Amino acid sequence: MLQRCGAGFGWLGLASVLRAETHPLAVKSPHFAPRAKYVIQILANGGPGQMDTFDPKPALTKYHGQRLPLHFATERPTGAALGSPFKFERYGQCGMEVSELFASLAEKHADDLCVIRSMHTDTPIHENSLRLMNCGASITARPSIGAWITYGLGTENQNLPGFVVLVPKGMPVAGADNWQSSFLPGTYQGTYIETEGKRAADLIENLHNPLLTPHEQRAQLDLISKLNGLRSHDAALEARIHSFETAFRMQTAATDAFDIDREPAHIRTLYGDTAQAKQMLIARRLVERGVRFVQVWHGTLQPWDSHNNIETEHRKLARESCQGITALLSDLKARGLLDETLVIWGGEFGRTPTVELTQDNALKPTAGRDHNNHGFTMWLAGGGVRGGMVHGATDEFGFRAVENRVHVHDLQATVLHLLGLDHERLTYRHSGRDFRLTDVHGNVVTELLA
Amino acid sequence: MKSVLRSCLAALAFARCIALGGTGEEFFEMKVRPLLVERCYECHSTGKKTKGGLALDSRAGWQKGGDTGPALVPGKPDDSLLIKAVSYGDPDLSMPPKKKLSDAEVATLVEWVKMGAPDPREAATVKAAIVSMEKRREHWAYQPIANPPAPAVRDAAWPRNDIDRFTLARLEANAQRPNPPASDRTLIRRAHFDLLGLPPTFEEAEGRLDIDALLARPEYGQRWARHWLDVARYADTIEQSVDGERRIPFAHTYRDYVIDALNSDKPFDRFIVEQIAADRMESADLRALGFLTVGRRFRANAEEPHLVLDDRIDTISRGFLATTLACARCHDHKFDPVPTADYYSLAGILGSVVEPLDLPETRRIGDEAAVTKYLDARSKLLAEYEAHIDECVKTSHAHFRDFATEYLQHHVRSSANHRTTAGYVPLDTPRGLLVYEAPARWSALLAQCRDEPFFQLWHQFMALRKESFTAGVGPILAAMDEYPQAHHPLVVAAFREKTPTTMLDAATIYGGIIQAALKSDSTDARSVVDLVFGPGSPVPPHSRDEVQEDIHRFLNEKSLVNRRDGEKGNKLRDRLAALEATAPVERARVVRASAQPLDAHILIRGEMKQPGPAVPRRFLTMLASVDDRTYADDGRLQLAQAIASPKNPLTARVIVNRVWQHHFGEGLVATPDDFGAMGAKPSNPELLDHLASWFIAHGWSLKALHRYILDSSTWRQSGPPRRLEFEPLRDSLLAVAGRLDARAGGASTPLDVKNVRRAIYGYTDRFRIPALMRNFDVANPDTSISRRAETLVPLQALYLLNSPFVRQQAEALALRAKEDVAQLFRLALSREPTAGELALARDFLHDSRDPRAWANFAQSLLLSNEFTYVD
Repeated sequence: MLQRCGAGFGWLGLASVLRAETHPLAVKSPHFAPRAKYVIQILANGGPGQMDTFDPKPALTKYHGQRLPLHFATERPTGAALGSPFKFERYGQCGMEVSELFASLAEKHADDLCVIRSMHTDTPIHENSLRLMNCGASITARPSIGAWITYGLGTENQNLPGFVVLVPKGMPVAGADNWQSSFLPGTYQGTYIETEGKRAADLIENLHNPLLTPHEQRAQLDLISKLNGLRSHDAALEARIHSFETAFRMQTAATDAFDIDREPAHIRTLYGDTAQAKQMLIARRLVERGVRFVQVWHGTLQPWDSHNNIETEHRKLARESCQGITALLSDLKARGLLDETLVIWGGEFGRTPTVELTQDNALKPTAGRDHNNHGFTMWLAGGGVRGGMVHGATDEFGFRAVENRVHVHDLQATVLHLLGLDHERLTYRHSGRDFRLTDVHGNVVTELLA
Repeated sequence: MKSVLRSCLAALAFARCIALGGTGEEFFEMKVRPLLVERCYECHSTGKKTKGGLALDSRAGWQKGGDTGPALVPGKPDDSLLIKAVSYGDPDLSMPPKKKLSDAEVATLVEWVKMGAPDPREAATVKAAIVSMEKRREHWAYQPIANPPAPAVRDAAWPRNDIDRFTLARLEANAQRPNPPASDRTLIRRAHFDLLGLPPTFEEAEGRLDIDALLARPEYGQRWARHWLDVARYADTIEQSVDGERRIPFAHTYRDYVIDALNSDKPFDRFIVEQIAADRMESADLRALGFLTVGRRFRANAEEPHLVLDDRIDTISRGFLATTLACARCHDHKFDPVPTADYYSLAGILGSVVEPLDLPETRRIGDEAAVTKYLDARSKLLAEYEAHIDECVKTSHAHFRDFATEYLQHHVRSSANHRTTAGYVPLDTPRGLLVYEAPARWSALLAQCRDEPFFQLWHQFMALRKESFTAGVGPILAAMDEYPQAHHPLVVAAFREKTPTTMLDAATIYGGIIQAALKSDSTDARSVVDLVFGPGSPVPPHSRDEVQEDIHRFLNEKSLVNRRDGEKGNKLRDRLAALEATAPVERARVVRASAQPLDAHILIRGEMKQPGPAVPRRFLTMLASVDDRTYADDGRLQLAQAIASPKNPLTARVIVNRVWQHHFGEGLVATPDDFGAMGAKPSNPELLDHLASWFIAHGWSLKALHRYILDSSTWRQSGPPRRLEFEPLRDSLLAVAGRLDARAGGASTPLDVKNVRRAIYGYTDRFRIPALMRNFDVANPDTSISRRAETLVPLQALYLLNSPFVRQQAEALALRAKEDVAQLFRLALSREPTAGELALARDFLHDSRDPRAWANFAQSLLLSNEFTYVD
C-alpha cells in the first residue's frame, strides 16, 4: 500500500478518495427518534383556491360581486368578491368542513387529515413560491427538501434512488430547481421520472440495456471484476465495482418497483386510471420498498393555476386527483404504512377570494382567482401528525392567514422534525458558511404533532 | 440596470423627532409592560431574539428602533410604526404575526404612545462577542505574500526544484519519506489527463514525458477552461423555466475566449482585468466580458437588478479573491474583515454597468448571403424595438397625466388617516387600471413637496383625522383666505369654489386642478405641470433607459409600462435573442459603463425597500493597501486592476492554489473559494507563498506554473488513484474509439448520443441540466463552483453499462482493434496486455469472431477501473 502523506506534502487526493468509500446514500441515524420514515409530497402545483377546497368562507358568498372591506396585493389586479361555486359539508368524527371537490377523500379520511388553513408564503410568483416551498429559498439556488432529507437520512433501498420525482409529462414551473441538490452532492438530487406513456423499464434513464441480455451483462461484470483484480486492491476502486453490482441489481429491482401492472386488479380499481392515480400507486410501491422521499406533481407547468373559470377548471383538476389521493391514504393505511409515511398535499400558494381582472385595462372579470401568498391551505396525513384537526385560520374571506400563521419555513421545520431531524442541525458547509433548509427561520409547529 | 437601481435605492427621508417626557410610569408598569412581555418579548428582546433589529425590552430599544427606524414617536400614535403594526393595517407589517392583539390591548398601546410613551426601563447590556475588524485583518490571507527562502533538507538528492524542498522539509519534520517515484508510463498518463484531459496513445505512452509539447497542444486550453468555467458559473442559457427564449446569445464566445486565453498563455493578471473591464483597455479581447454576463438573470423577481449584481459580486469575490463577500450583503461579515459597506461599494461599481442589445461582431461564420439576410432581419428587429420603446415612453407619460386624479385618490385610500380599505388598496378604478408600483412614485412626489405652495393645503388636509375632517377643514380654509400667498393661486381658486367634505374629495379637487392645468397655457398652470410632471418630479419616467429596463421587468414591477406594452417588448427581445442564437456571426457579450455611475446605498438587511446611507465606489477596505482611492468614475477598471495587482495578498495565492488542486486532487488550502477565517488553513503556508511569489515573478504565466509543478519530484511521486471527471471520461471514450471530433470553438451543442465533440463544447441549459451530468457531479452553473463533489452512485454505473453512447464507443473501439486483443489493449489502455489479461480475453471471447462479443469485451475494458482512474 502506498504511503499517503498528509496535507501539504504533495499527494493530497486522499480525503476525496476516502469520501467515495462510504456510500453517500447509506442509512444514517436521525438526530432523535423519528415519527415518520418516508415522505410523499403531493404538489397541486399552480395553487388551489383554499376557499374552494378546505377553507369554507360563507362571508365571501355573502359579499359575492361586491368590494371586500379588505384587500391585499397579489400578482395581478383583482376586483370584487368571488364566492366559491363549491358546496362544503362536514365530514368524519372531527366534523371538518371540506368542499365537494374532495368529498370522497373527506368521507374516507377526514379524521386522518391535519389541515393547516393558515399557511402563508413570501411572494405571489409561481417560481419563487415553488422554490421556497421545495428549497427554502425563493431566489437563490439551494438544495431541495428531498435532497436535504436524503442527505440527512440516506435511504433504505440501495437498489433504488433515495429521492424520486414523478411528473406525468414535462416539467413543472421552476423545473429541476424543485428537486435540485444544489451544493449538496449530485447524488442527493431527485431522480426525475416522466410517468406517462412509458413502460416501467424505461422510466429511469439507462435502466435498461436495449441490446445485451442479462447473461451477457453478467459476463461483462465478471470480466470487469477480474480485470480490476489483476491490477489493484484499493478500497476506492473496490467501491466502484460494488456500484456496478448495485446497478446490475437495480435494473430488475427498479423495473419491478415502477411496474404497477403487477398490482392486483382491486388495487388498480381503487386508485383509478388517471395519470395522477398511476403516480400515487407508484409512490406507494416506492415507499414500500424503502425510498425516502417521493415528490408527486399534478402536471407540467402549473395545472392548478385557475386564473379563469375556476369552477370548471378546479372541478376538472379535483376529478383528476381526488380518487388517487384517497386510494393512496387508504392503501397506506391498510398496509400499516401510513403511520411511518408523511403525506403532504398542497400548492405553492393559494388563490384570492377576489375575482381576477383582465389584463388589458378592460376591467372585465374572469370568473377566476389570482395567486395568493397571504393565506392558503395545505394538509398533512400519517407520519406522526394529528388527524382530524384544523390548524389556524384565514380572515373571514380567506384572503390572509390571521390565526396561528404557519410560514413555509415552519412547515419545513415540522416535516424535518417528524423525520427525526432538527432543522437547525441539518447543515452543510458551502461557500464559507453552514447552510440549512430553513435558512435562519422556521419553528416546529408542535400543535400538529400527534 | 443602473437607472432602476437608482430609483430603488433613492431613499425617502422621514424626519422623526423624538420627544421624551410625560409621566405615567404607573400606567406603563400596570398595563404596558405586561403586554410587551407577554406578546412582544419572544421576538423582540435582547435576551431572546431581536427580529427586524428591534428590541422592546428597554426604552433605548424602541428609541433606536429596528431596521425601519424608531418603533414609535412619543405622542404620535399615527406616526408610530409600533401602532401601525399592531393595528394590522399593513399586511407587510402586522404584529404580532401569529395573532392580532385584542382591541383593548391596541388601545392601551395607543394611549401609552399618546402619553409620550413613559418608560423607565434601562437598556439591557449586550455583550459584543464580535472580533474587531482590525483583529480580523491579522488573518494569514491578508498578509503580504512572502517569498520565503527554500528550506534546507536532509535528502538533498530528492528535490528536483524548490517546490520539493518545501514539501520535503515538511515530511522530514514529521519523520516521513516521500512516496516512491511513479513509473514513466504512469507519469505520461497522469500528465496527459492533468493537462489535456485525454489519455495518451500507445505510442505516446511508450515515448518520454514532454511537458512542453503537451502544454503546446490545443487540448490543454480545452481541459483547463473547464476548471475556470466552473468558477465562472458558465452556461448557455438563463435559468428561466417557462415560456419564452432562454438562450444567452453568444455565451460560447466567452467559453472560446477562456480556451484561447489559456492556450496562448495570456498572463493571468491580464486575464482577470479583461474579464472585468476589457471594454476599458487598449486592444483587449472583448469576448472576455461574458464573464460578467453568463450568470443567472432572476427574471420576474422584484429584486432582479440586485440579484444579478449579487451573482456578479459573488463570482468575482470568491473566484478571484476567495472571499465570501456576498455574506456582507445583509450585515457586516460575521468572520472576515468585510463591512457591509464594502459590498455596496462593489455594488456601485458593478451596478454602473449597461448591457447593450447591439453587441459588437467578432467573427463571421456563415456565407455572405446568410449574413446579409441575418443583418437585415436584425436591423429591422432592433428598429422595431427602439420604436416600441418610444411608444412605451409616450403611453407611460400619457397614463400618468391621464390618471393624476385616480393616483391622488389611491394615495388617500391607502393612507393611515383616510384609508377606506384594510390592507392593500386595489388598483382598478372606474376608468381603468393603475400601474402596479406607480402609487409609490406619487407618494414620493407628495413627500418631497411638503413645502411647495401647491401642496400646502394637501398636507394640512391629510393631517386631519377622517372622522373630524369636515370640522377641521373650516379653519384651514380660513387661514388660506387670510394668507393666500402661502398657497398656489390655482389651489386657492379651486378651494374657494368648493369645500371638500372628505380627503377623497380634496384629492378629486386637486386632480381637477392638475387636469385643468394640463390643458392650459398660463404661467400658473405651467408651474403646476412642471411640479408634478417636470424633471424634478419622481412621477413620470425620465429616461428611455428607465422605460427600457422596465419592459422586461414589467411582470413584477409594472411601474411604468402596462402589461400589454411590456409583453410586446418582451416578445421583440425574445425574437432578437432567437435570431442571435442562430446567427451566422459571432459577437462579444460586452458591457459598457453607464453614463452616470451609481451611488449605491447600503440596503439594510439587504432589503430593497430599506435603503441606508450611500457609500463611495472603492476597493475592499481590508485591501486598502492595494488601492485606497474612491473612484469618481464607475471604477470597474480600477477594481479589476486592484484584484490583479501583485500587491494583492489574495489573488496570486488563490490561483496557484486552484492550479495545485487540479494537479493533486486537493489544494494547499482545501477551501479554494474561501481563504477567510471560516475557510481551511494552508497546509503548507510557505509553499503557498513560494508558489504565489514565483508565479508573479514569472509573469503570471499559468503554463510556467504547470511546468514548474510537473517538473517537481513532488508531482512525480506515486499517488492514490484519482477518478476522471465526467468531461475527460466522455472525451476519453470518444478518443479511444477513434471518433473524437477535434474541431475547436463555435456554438454549443447538446451532449447527445451523436455528439462526438469534446464535452467542453456541450450545451449547458441551466433549466435542464441533464440528470446524467448531475449524477457525475458536473458543476451546477447556478453559482461559482471551485471544487466538485465526488460521489460514486449506481446511476453512474447504469450509464456506463447501458447507455447507447458508451456502447457505440465500445463497438467503434472493437472495430478499430480488428480482432486483435493486444491492439485492443493498446488502444483502450495505451499498453500491452499482460499474460493474465490475455488469458481472460481467451476465456471471454473463445476465439469468437462475433462483433458483438468483441464489443462486449471492449466495453468491459472501458468500464474497468484502469480506464476511469488517472493512475
